[in-house]
Amino acid sequence: MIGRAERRRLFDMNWVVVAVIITLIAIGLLNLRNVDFYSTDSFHGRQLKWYLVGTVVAVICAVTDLHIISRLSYLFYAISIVMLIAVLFTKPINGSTRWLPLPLIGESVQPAEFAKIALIMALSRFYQDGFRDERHDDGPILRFMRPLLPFLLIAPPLFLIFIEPDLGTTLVTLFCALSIVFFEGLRWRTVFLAVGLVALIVPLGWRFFIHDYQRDRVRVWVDSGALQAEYESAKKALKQRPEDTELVVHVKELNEVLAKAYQPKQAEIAIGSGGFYGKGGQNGHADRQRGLPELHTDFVIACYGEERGFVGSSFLLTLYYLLCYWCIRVTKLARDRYQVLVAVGVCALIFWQFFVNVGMVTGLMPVVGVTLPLLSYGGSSVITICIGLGLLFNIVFRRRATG
Amino acid sequence: MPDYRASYRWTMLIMTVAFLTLLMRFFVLQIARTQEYQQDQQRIKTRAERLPARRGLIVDRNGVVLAQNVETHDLVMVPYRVKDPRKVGELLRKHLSLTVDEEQTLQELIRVGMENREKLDIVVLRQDVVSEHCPFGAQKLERLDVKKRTLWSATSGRSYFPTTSAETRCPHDRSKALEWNSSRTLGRCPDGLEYASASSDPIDGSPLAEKTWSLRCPSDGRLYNNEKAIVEAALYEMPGIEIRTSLRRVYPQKNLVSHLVGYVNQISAKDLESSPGEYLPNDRAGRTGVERSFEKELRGQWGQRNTLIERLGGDGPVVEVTDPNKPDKPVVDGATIRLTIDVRLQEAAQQAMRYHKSGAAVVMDVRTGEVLALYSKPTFDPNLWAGRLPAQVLQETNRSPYSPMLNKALTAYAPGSIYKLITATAGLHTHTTDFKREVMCPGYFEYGGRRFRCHLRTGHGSMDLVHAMARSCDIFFYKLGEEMGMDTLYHYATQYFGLGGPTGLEIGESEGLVPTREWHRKRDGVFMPGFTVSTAVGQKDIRLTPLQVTRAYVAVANGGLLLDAHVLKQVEDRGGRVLRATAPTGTTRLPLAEEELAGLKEGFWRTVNDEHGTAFDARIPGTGEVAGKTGTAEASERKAGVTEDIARWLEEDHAWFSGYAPARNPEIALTVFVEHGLSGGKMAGPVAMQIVKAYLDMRNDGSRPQEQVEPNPIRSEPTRITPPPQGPPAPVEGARPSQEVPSGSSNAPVEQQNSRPGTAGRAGVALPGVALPGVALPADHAEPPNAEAAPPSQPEGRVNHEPMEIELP
Repeated sequence: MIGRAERRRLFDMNWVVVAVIITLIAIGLLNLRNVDFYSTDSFHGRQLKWYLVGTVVAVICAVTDLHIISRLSYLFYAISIVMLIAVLFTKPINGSTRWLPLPLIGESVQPAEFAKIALIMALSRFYQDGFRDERHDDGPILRFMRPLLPFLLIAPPLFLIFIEPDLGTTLVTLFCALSIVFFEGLRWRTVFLAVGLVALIVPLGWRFFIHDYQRDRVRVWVDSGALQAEYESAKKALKQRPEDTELVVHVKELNEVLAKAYQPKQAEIAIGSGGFYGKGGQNGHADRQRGLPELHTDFVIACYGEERGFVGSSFLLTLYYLLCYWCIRVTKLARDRYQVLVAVGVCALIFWQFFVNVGMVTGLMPVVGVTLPLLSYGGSSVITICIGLGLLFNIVFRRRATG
Repeated sequence: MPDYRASYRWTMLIMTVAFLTLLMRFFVLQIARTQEYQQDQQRIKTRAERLPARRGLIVDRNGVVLAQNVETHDLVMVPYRVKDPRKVGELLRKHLSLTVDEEQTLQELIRVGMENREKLDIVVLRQDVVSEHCPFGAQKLERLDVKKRTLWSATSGRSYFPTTSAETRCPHDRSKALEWNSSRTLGRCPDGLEYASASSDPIDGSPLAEKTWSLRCPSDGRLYNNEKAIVEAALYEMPGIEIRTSLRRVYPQKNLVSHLVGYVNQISAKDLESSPGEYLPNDRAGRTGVERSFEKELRGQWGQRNTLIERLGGDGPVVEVTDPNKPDKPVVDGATIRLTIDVRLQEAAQQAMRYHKSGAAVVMDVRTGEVLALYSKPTFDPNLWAGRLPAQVLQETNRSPYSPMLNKALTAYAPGSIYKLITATAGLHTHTTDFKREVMCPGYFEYGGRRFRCHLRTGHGSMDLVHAMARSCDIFFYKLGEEMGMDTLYHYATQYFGLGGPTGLEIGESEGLVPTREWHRKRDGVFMPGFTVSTAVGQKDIRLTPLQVTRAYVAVANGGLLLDAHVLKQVEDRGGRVLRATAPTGTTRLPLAEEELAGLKEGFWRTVNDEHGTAFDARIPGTGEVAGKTGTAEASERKAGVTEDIARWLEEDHAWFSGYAPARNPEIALTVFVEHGLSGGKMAGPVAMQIVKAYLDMRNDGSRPQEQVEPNPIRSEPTRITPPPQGPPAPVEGARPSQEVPSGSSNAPVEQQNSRPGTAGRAGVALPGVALPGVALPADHAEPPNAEAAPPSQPEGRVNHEPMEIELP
């Protein structure tokens, strides 16, 4: 499939990509260390531990026979569904049930993250098995329904993630799945269905499944007046009756809500104030933690952008671009359909999260709670990416020697 | 495998476009708009907020509250938020019942506030807006079921109930007759309510308008409206106006302990300067009394909250959060000051003094030196002085000839015969006299060409020390004084009795004056030995405060130990834990042997219990045995612009009584001082007896609480006694051995005589009648017929003496 010259380029590219990945991980850890500086936490240490585990997982994924993995895809999918159902019965944290505590390890994991990669693998398997392909003996109904069949796989995990609730991950998962589906070919029916799905999810989610504070974030993005007014009047009332503890608590809550709601604006300001060269490590605005309580998760780019400026930001963008480019290139090395689609899925995984996260942190989109792969703190995310990259390296290792 | 080339290309295209979009966005943020964002970030402000501390309480020894805090509401203006000051003024005028003067002040404040809006954060427009409590008190206002309607004058602030001029009985109580004035415009009821029949104020003619009231203060019956609620309802129309809650100081005992406790008010410029960083210009601080002397303990410590203020997102809401790098400094509330005063004794003093216009009473515990009562009359209501003082009250106070703001217990006056204690002690210790020596009192004493009279014109006859004390014979003590000399008296007064100096009291007091020869030379240019004679009986220039006197008698009562007077029992924190307590202090002992002290005490006992004693008629049943000394001190003074009554009052002598009870086993010593009260025995004595009775009643029915009593200090080791001054007293007054007095002339009345230089007294008392070389004796003046003590020695026009001013710290 590939010419010798191209093969060599790809081979070189693989080493480049390894460097890119290592650089991204390093930047991520360093950045988290700086994030910790602005608050009293210590995320970078824990993230490092997750990466060590992740490396092991990646290696496993890279060396195991892909056929075995391929055949286990539906199993992984089933496991992920079970985990997704199980998590719904845990105690809600901040109003959502996203974390499953693992008794043996002592840490919690997010099933939604694993569901992403499991879905990718299951979908790829689905296409590999040819379920999507039209058969000559299809009746008219079946012929109509064929393009919709992948959605039978997509729907369950999507729905389960959606009702956790976790709108961000839902959307990302959907986009990943759609990326695979559309990579396979564009059909108007599919497009309509996809649009329909999004149109369905977003308003429903908005009304029933996201929190006030998330809603407030978006509301703030659209119009900030009402929340502001409520806060101002509460503050005024507090001035008159400073001993009213209920009022004190109320003002404090509104304070926090506003802080959260205005995070994207704060992040935008932080990034913008970085200028061309950035302010340097740990030189960002010292009162960071207050204005950006989620600096270590959703808003990591804010810290990075302020400290490293345009130079650093464009460098980071380039790194991600190279990574995604490499992922897509890997499709050329794939030996079967499964491998192609897995590569597409992993690329989509990284790309969509990256794009939505940076988009929302820089103010292009409303906030939907998506973390930045490799940079944001999050154990499950790290493991998932490690699995994905491991699989991709697996594909690279087993590429055809000759075209 | 299907052909993915198209998909591949599409994917690459989408990804590339996406990345370029993001890159452009970063460009916009970090290059194009970076200035704007950097400015946004600069807008984080820090604010250091002072958290006020609650002022500590002042309580008496049993915990009765003398000063406390009550919630108050102030109407304030934040100038930079006010948009329409004129509208604000109109609205406030509409909603508050302001007199014309108050309205002017308000307008002025608004105007000044708006002019200085850059500099001023807050302007207090009206203090203590009425809401739940009576002004000047802690009582809660009661809500009236039926609103009362009155006619109100905006000029004077007076309220009248409306009625018609035909009315003859009080509309609110028909059993009482309504008395009209001549023009039938003002009707008064026996209980004080006033009615008006016309639409203008009967007194000053100002227009009356109807006003309804919904609240009433139970203690004085005055009517109010809930100003706070009224203003609050209209706040939305007046941006920039706020109601702020704070604490106001209230004195539940009103004028009972006012001089001692003092009051708080806005801090003076001087105090502000002397404690930089402790106060803000609008703060309240103690101005007099305990409130001032213990200001540091009472005020506690301000806390601080450091807040970060940030405008979110450039133009979003302003959010405040406590600064994590600068933690709060916690507020420390003021400590409670527990005084040694017993409010019940204070009340007894007030009750006992009720028929006199001016004076003081001091009661001390002889075992510890604690001051149990410190009363001065006339008093004032500190509640008025701590808040919005009505102009009328200020005027009346300034005009009163009785000096209500003066704490007379701590002001120095001529003590009169009270001082004989010191003269006697000096006499005994210098061996000028003993209990056997007798001195003849013919009713006068000629010395240095002058005749000094005894208060008993007819003379006491031959007296020994005990009887001279009991009957307050002046001649005996003139003699002693003359023989010892002024500086000797000074020595004993200051060294052993602590006179002429501080008593150890924690609040400011006058130190009084004990003259010496040097002092006289400095002030008068000359010293005359006659001065000593007067001084020996507490006349002329000697000045003592009632507290100093009490302290001297405490020493006698407890067996000879001069204790420091103190009014602070202990300082407690808000939880009741004792931070610091005062223990009795004092090491000086009176230079008297036990028998000598006993002898003096016999004299004091006889003053009250011997039929010839000067306080014999002052006794009342129920006091047990009381011992003491009377004093009547010449105190004639002149003041300009007073009425005839006052002028006459000013000429009278001061009346003193000092003593202790129970006589055999003393527990308290007390002094009663009646300013210009005429006679110690007749006026001050009975007051003292009533106080003693009250004390014993309190003690006997167990209402005096148990307290830790120090083991009797008499048992402690005597300390060094300073020797008398070097050398014998000045030769002119040379120590004389007892003189034999021919008995014949002892009781005969002596003619008033113009003394001539060189004439010796005829009654046989041998005196060096020769005037000192080079010293001219002043011409004698005719004695006014009413004088009972030593003759006046100053030329006319010169005021004899004035009570010393209290020196506030």
